[in-house]
Amino acid sequence: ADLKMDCNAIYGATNFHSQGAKLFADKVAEYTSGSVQITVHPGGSLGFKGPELLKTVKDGTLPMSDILMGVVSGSDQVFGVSSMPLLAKDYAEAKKLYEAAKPYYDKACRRWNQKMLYAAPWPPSGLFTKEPLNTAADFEGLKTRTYDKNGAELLRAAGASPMSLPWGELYSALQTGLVDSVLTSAVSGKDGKFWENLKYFTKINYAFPLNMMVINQDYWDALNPKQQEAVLKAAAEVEAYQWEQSAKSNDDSLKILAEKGIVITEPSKEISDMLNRDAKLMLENTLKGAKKGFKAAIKAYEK
Amino acid sequence: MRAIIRLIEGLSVGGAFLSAAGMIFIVCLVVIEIFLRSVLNTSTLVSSEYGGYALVYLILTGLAYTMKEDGLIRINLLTSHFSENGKRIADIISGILGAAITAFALNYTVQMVYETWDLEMTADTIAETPLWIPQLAIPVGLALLLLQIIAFIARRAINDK
Amino acid sequence: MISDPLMLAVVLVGGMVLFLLSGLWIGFSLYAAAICGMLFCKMNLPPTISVWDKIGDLMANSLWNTMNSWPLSALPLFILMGEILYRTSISTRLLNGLVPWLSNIPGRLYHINVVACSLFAAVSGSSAATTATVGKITFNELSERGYHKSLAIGSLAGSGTLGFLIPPSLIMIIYGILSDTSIGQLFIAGVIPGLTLAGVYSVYIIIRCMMDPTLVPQEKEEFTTAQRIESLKDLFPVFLLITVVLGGIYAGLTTPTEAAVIGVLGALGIAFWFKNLTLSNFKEALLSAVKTSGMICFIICGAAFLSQVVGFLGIATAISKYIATLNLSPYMLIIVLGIMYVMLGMILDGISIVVMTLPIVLPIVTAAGFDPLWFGIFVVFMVELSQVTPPVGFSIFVIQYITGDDVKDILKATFPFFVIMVLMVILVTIFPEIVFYLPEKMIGT
Ligand code: NA
Ligand code: NA
Repeated sequence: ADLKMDCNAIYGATNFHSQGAKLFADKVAEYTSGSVQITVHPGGSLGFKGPELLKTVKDGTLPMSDILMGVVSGSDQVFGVSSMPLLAKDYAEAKKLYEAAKPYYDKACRRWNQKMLYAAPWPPSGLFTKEPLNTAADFEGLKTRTYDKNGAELLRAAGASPMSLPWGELYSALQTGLVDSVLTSAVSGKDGKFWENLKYFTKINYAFPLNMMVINQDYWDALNPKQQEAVLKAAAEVEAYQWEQSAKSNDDSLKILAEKGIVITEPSKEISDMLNRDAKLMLENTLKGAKKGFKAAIKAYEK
Repeated sequence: MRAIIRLIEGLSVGGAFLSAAGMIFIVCLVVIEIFLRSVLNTSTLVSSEYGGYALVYLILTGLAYTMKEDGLIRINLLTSHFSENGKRIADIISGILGAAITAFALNYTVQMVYETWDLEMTADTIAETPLWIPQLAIPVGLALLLLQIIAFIARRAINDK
Repeated sequence: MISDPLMLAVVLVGGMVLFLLSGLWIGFSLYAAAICGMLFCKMNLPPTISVWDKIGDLMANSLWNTMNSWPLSALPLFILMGEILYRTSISTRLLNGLVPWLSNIPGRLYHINVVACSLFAAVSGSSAATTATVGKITFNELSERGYHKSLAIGSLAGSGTLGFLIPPSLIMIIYGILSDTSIGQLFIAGVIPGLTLAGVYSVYIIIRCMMDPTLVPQEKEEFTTAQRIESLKDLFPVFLLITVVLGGIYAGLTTPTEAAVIGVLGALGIAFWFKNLTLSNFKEALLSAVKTSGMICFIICGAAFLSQVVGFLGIATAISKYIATLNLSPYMLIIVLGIMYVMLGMILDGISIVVMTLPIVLPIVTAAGFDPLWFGIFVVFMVELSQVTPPVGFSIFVIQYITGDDVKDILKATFPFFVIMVLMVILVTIFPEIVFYLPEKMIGT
């Protein structure tokens, strides 16, 4: 039977996750000869924000959605794995972490009446600052905009004063000096034209947060086996492509940032030692009160 | 009948005071945040999160009062030409339609809050606030609004200004 | 069951007009129209999910997501600030203080809406807050002094929309993120068109009042320089308030949202200073702010849900896609897009207009040779226009609430200012230098 589905995408149409969703929709239409049609709605235009998405897909209010795992970690802790700071330090480790945790993601999705089709990482977050970061002491008094609780905790442990601020208010906040640094990826820094207000980017490879594409189980069951097979084929291809795109867009963005005058540096040994130590402590603390799935995923990765 | 209507309207006014308290809460929250930031160089990290929750509370608990004070506006382009009786009937029909939509939304927001509680959903922030707490304002506010609309219909039905 | 988005748009608009005219409250009318849209649309639901559940879940979610918004919380606070200024007679002082300064300018106090909205626009990123706050302060004062209602309403509706064009601006931030344009440059680019628009409003007021002197109350006094200086003590507190609120933002002490709190505290401080603050008028101000915020936010909720449904039905996307297939010449394209935006602006709120159309429209526009920076200002103008067009026009609703006037009269009063906005758009299209002058200057330095 023919099936039409709306797919929610939080980021704008030009963002590479939204473009991945679009590519996925095109491939699905191709492989099912048009019998499964997915309409991607980018830019959050369907009125969803993030933390509610797991439940929204569970109830079938949305047939499909692109979800940043970290924002639904409040619904199911296992989705917080990919945003644990400094757990994966490069793309290879990020892939290893994904593969180790994948059975637990799938299990959690089943609990939430949905199916994960593919997942791909955001390029790694680093620190954009006004002043260079040479020593651990340079973190003292840094007014940093962070995007999640882990980032806030890590920076606080490092001596900075993290602030949560809507992305929309960030630009004026940087201009007026309300914040003087931002924890985010090179891609977001490029999109936000950070060179207009900031000068340095320290590649601390803070985390490779995953974005996943999910489909409501009832909608999935409404597909016939041939359609399901075609959708999975498209998903596998898009997943491989998006991992490449993530690394590529990171390189491209770093190049553009450098051209626009941002000084890009690796963190000094002192800084990375301090951050690694704090991150390890955070992970230990999190594991203490963690749910089963989260613990198992971390254990599978560290094996 | 009139006693019940007055009781409902009393509830609406009570909601308005809760709502006003919500405004004062935001003012205090921001004052603390600005103080921490500019004097102590730290941050509550929750002011924008709690500010959003406070807005949910203050708007929802204030809706019934807005309705009671005839603050929810409508367009009287056509209805202004109706006779007194015609206006009354139009008001009652509007009231029933409004009550139906509110009751429908109330039903689903109760479900939303229950499931959010049942699924133990929390915010992705440092406070990890259980989301059912701020969400609870929605069914409470809608219930107050529903009662107020019923009082409105009753007042129009017994032709009491 | 209908699957054609354009037919669905007709159903949606038709249903909405019907509900609105029947006298159903505006917020409920928007909800009712949206529910009809969902029911008429071919949803392709799997057998396990009922359409009512889908609508109900969407509604519950939409209520939560729309109201759980930190930037929006500035709205009730700015309204509270306006209420405090109004109830403690500081607004009366402000107008008293302005009388001697404006006495020689045709139109006199009519200009207060233009001036106050321009100033307030520099603090607030939204038009609803600008219109509600300034309207509260000025409208009754103008009526009591014998100024004509229609020109006061029109100038308030027109100037209220400046909140989007003069930075900070919520719409520009969203446009900047979606279009990969510098938000800073957009902010700077909006300044000259914004101030020009304010200036043209004032010129229009002057012309109207010169053509028809009865619009202005007759007793005209002559003021000496000494009296003007004397009046400064009435103006000073409000100028101080503006300085503190703006200063807090530009000194990096507060965000624009937090500035609303500074505004409330400042207003309380001034009221205290003039010994006008009593427990009873503070309570009245609070309750009145509750009522006004409830009124605006209820409509915002309805509009947000309607926009969500329009997103699901694919109406905005279908129209933009259709225009993309027409292969129009650059100026024709802008004219057609202008008409499209005015039509969409009738039913959608500003942010939705931008989010839903931009992914399709922006590539066509840049391919036709327009700069995204320029188009950003164009889009902001379009969003401003949407504030004053029926049936869903936020400025019109806010003014109806403040004045209690008939929508018909408000629309009539607003129409000349709508025309001025359209003329401004044409001007900016023919002379894009108006947009580019400041940003290019800034880059040069
Ligand atoms: Na503004
Ligand atoms: Na409109």
